[in-house]
Amino acid sequence: MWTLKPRPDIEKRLDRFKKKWQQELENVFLNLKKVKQAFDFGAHCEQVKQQFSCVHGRYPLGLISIDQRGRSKGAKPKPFRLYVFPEVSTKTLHLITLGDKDTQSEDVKLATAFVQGLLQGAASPLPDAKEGNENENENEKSEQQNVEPDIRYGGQAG
Amino acid sequence: MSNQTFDTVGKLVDALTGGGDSFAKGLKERIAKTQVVSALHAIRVAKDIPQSRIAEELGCTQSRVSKIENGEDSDLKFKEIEAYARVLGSDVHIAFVKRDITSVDRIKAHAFAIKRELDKLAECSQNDDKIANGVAEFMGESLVNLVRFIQSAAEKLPNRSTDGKPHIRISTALSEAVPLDDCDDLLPKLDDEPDAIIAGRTSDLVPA
Repeated sequence: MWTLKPRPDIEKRLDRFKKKWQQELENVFLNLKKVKQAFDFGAHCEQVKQQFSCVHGRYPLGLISIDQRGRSKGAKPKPFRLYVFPEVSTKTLHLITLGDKDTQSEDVKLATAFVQGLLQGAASPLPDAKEGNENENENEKSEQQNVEPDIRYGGQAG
Repeated sequence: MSNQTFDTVGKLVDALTGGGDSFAKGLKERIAKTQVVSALHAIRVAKDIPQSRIAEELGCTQSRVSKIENGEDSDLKFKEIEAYARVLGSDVHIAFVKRDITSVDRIKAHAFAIKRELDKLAECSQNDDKIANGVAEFMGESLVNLVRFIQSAAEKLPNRSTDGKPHIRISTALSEAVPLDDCDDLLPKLDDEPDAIIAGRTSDLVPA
């Protein structure tokens, strides 16, 4: 079974957005649940990208994002993206950050840097997106140092 | 939070929000209402079956299938579940389970179900030595694996508050040299006297 591993950024962003955009955020996490379930049933990353309209895969290194598509209350829903990296070797869905259109380019940069760090086992701390540059904590540094260098990232089949 | 992992989105959201807020409650209600459609969708994706194939079996449009997969369980008709199952190569099983069933009762129910299936296997083997041998090997594997599952769960129990010792220790001792009738001989070889010993010849118990 796959597990979910959130970065601290997720909690902060969720707290920021959920009061005003509850429906959209519920949709994002409901979509996350469906995507995780597909992985649990043995789906590959390419299948998930092709068959879930809420999943976007045009990022480097196997990074994907999950959007807010689903039930909406009348007016056009506000777009959100949850950036996720499926680490096949450990069956872990790393939840990297959550943002809207305003933070999109920063979020993609942050998420890409996180995946690069994970794949390389780098020790460099990752700044939080937009909330200011609190250095990521020591735990994450040492976590990255312990990562096996031959991780099969989400972009590979199977 | 940075090193924590979660098995389910429900547990993740509880940890992220403290569990009691309207977001967490709303999300968990929606998860509860979409168990079946979510599973059908996930299995279809994992088996690489396009929506069009389901639509063909259901005799409806692809957009209807999309609506089903993004809807709630209460919108599903039983014939739609059956049609989905056919395309996915699955059978539909419906179980009526006692409300608020406990974990202990669930485990007992599964144990009895295992016994029933093993009895059926034994019945199938009556007139065929080759099948009987295969079933015997499988039974040996099943025993070892079941013991390992229980052993693994027991290791997650906290130690006794009175003396710091485990509530239960389960040890497995598998040795080619020990006859099944002489299990007592194994006791001195174990570090602490456990509460349960599973012992036998390796030729009888084939690890998975």
